[in-house]
Amino acid sequence: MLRLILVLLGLAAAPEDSVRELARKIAAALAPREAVALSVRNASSLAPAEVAGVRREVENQLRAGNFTLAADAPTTVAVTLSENWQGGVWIAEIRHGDKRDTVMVAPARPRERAAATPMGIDRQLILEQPEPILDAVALEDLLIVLEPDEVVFYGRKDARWERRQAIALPQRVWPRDLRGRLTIEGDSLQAFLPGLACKGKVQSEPALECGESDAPWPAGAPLAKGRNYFEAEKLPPFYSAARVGEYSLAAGMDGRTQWFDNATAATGSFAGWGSDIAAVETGCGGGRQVLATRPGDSTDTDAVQAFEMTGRRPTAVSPAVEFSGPVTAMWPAGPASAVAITRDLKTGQYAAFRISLTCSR
Amino acid sequence: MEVRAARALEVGEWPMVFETLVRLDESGRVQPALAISWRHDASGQRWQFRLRPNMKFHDGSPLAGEAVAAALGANGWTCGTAGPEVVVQTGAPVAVAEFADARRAVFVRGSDGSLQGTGPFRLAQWESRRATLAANEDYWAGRPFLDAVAIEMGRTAQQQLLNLELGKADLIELGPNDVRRAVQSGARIWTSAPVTLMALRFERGRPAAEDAKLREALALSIDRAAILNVLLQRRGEAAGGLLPQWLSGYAMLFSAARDAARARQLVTGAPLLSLASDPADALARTIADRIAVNTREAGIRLLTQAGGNADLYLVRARIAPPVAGPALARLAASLEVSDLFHVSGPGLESLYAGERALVEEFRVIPLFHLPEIYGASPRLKTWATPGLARTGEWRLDDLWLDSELP
Repeated sequence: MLRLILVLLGLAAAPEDSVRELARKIAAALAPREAVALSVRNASSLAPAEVAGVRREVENQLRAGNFTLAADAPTTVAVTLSENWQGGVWIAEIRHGDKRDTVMVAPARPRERAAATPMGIDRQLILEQPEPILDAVALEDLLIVLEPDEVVFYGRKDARWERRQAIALPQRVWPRDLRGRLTIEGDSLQAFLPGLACKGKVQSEPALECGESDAPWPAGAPLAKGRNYFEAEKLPPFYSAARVGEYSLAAGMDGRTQWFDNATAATGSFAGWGSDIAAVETGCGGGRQVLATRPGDSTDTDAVQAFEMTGRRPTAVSPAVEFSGPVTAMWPAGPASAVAITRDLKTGQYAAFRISLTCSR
Repeated sequence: MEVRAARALEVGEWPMVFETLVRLDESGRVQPALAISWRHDASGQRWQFRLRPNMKFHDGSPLAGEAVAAALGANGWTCGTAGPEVVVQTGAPVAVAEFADARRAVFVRGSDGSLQGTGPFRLAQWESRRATLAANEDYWAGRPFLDAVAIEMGRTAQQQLLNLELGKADLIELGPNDVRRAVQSGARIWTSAPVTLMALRFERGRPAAEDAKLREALALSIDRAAILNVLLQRRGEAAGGLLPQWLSGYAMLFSAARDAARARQLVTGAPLLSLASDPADALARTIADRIAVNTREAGIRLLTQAGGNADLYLVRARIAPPVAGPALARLAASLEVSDLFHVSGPGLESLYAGERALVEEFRVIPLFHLPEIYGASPRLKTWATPGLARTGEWRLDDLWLDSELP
């Protein structure tokens, strides 16, 4: 009874209590000693380590309840770690054949925002897979993933992405540090890879036509031939760019980020950012922010942080959101968010995350 | 400042004029407002609030506990005072966040019958299509930067955009299709979380509305993703449920996917249905036409019309945060399906079960969750907080104008 009142009043339980409560509710929906296939998906701002901890504790609690965990068990328990604006919402969907039970708990807020920064930064996992991901565009019921060899279309099924169709890309010997970009406008899809551009439609039966191309990417410049950076007239080579008002920022090859005005005249530079940057427009603070990765190489873990430009210097306006491996790409995804692609250093899995900002004061 | 329509000023739902005992910040955390502290009993039904001292309404009358109790009591609660505290008996367990609901705003009627609040702005003038707000010099959180705000209502989108471009307006309401032009004219775009539900509502009593398979087939035939991408310019979310994800945390459990094949299986020989939308809402009319194309592919013919009586209506319903449960109840009421909405107990599980049962009746078909979008002129600056809250409320007290810009 006490627990019910706490949840009701918004005084959510501590995370460790919530895991046990969730496991108890799952157990109540199962037959004694039933074998279950457990999956855990993170749709919240929890860090991978926190998600792993939740999974571990749910497994421990179920085993302690004499349930068997087996990947091929006919009864499935799909745990989704979600959140609303006031805190966590952890959901377990238990399926036994056609029967489905849904249980939920409301844990304490996943993480307090850093008091010194005026914004929060949210990370939502879109997809995780062993195959390399170059870019991903997630719409409501459609997920399009650009891989080195194909463009894969996923549809939603029961709140999960289900692979529906893949369109093979022309065979190429790609650079080792391959980059690619997807854009979608209305019903039109475009894919950019080094020396290759594809156009198509996003319909019930997606189609794509590819051809040789040195056309500019959405960054405003073409990729240098055989290299992984962009080249544009009047500009030094750059890895990524972001527009902030009447100025542009370009992450250069020397590890410095340069300011340019409309006439592409360099007006200054600073260090401290990685090679992937993306502008977002949030309405928070000064209205426009830049998401930037951390300097490092492909053997380091990485992070993304939001900055505002004040006096042509970057000022951090959010905490850094950490990843378990390098951010291999980050591209704008709509006006207020970006997609970051990461490679987990331990598992080698690639993951696409949606990164967005929240005004937290 | 210029907006097309004001939202219910008559009932005190302008937080910049009328305040609540507590407020929620941009992360949904409860913060003090008119009350500086509060406590409740174990059942969550008896609440005691200590008011901020030396507060006054805009007309200079003191904010007394009795006035607060009277204002809150108008909502069906039993309210009174106990020493320096206001005591509220809610009759059912509530969360403290419910005291941040704009319906719980505190106001009194002045001697001339006008509503008097305590917010950073006072209502200086109110006409049919124009309101003027003046800074509250004695506001407890500090005087607003702006001296006054003029709010024009009833302007078309074209007029508003033109006024923004000419520098005659500093903040205008935008539709999804207006954003690009506003950005090209130098405007900054402010967007709230999705706070409006666009949905189809069947008219009770009509033969079509009583055919459950037809209702379900219609729901399955709509290609929300395509409409969202093209007509709504990806400004919003496809909705399978009534509450948006940011408010409930479980919205992703509702599918918004199209299944035209299943829709065709459900109905054969469906009658011609009429679909009405607001004649003044051009975007809604376009969406209605697109829905008719979708349903025709599934064997359901829809005749769209601007206004008038119809079998079903394309409607917009404002979602009133801050708390999911009351927001869903109010949404059900505004969509005229309160009789189908039942919550068996406290907690999110019960709320989800109630929402699922309501959605699976298909008397209301959720389509999209849409944000409020505003275009702000380059000279309109914000200090610490955004001018538009996540909940869609204006936050004008932290705005200022850069006079050096035209």
